[in-house]
Amino acid sequence: MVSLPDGRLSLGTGRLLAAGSSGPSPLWYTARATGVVALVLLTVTVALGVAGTARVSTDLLPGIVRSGLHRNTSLLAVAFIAVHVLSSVLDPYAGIKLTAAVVPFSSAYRPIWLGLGAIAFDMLLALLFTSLVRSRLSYRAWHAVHWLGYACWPVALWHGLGTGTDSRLSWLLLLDAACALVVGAAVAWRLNLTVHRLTGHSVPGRSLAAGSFAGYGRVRAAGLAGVAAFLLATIVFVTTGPLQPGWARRAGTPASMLHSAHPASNAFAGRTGAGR
Amino acid sequence: MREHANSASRRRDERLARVRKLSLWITGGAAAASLGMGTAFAHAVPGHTASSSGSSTATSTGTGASASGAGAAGNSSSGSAGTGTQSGTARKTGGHHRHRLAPPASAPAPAPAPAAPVVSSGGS
Repeated sequence: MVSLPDGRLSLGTGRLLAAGSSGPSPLWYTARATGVVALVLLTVTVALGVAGTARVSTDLLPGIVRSGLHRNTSLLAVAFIAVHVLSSVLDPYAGIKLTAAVVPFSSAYRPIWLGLGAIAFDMLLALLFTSLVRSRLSYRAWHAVHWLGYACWPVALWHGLGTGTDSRLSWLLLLDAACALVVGAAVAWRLNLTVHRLTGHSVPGRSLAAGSFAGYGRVRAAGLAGVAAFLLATIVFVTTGPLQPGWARRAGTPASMLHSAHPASNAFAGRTGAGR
Repeated sequence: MREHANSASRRRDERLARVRKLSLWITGGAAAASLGMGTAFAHAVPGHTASSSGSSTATSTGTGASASGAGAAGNSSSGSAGTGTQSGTARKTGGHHRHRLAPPASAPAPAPAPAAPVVSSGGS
């Protein structure tokens, strides 16, 4: 792999680049598909992680299986995100530089929504590296960074909805909705479980101070309200943003791309409804 | 005691094997889903056909090309209907298309009248 002066990468795949510059790029489709699959894998990872915090262990899903799957799906998600980033950078049309993948809001193409992807990518890298050196970190430090996982997922979802030029596809909307429901339900279940445990339903014989129950009750209420607010905000955002005509222009696609005579730019306009 | 340890070890190995098996299934499923989605995007997204028509703009001549270009800027169905599959790009991606070639939206513009020949005096 060779790094070019302008930050772009060249793998010596001239054929791929040529295909990308002359018509519908396979890299473009690769970037979209791997991005969607990475979101699904992140959803599974978050759901397994939430189950892990509750120490869920059943015959069907013992603790060691759950934690192993959590680790492997997260690593797989990172691999898909790496392919997603590389194919986006190598795709010649949008001109996304490698730095834009890690430095938020530094891209000329849809800076806000691509910046959200960079933020999610950075958080995921932090999660990955702190997990790799977990034995050298204190549990508290590792756990604090690991909480980023809860923030990484919604940021990644909004990145996909805002940057994704296929957000109008009904099956993709359904997939996004399913992912949001899975994570929302998992977090709500986890918050509810905390209260049940504190009230002694799951841990018999444990007494609970009234003050701590009230404190956790507030946390639970705030958490549930946050989940509901996020889901509502996502619905409002999708209906007023990506589903409306002219989203490509409002999302920050450079005018030169919207009105370029390049074949791919017409594809962009058609995909995003820029001309409507 | 040793039997108990062996049993626990065996159970642990079985569960780790289950993790590996499930992970392989998830990896395979993710790869297959990625390929399937890439193909689905190539089929469903208007840009796929519009790009072909855009390429035909570069390789075709006359109003047929401009009609397909309008299809690219419009919607997907008109873009694919107006796709001129003469170009190399269109041939490359046209294998996925079920649409046949549609007649141009408007009649071809008449060819401009040839200019009168310029006669030089020859300087004599």
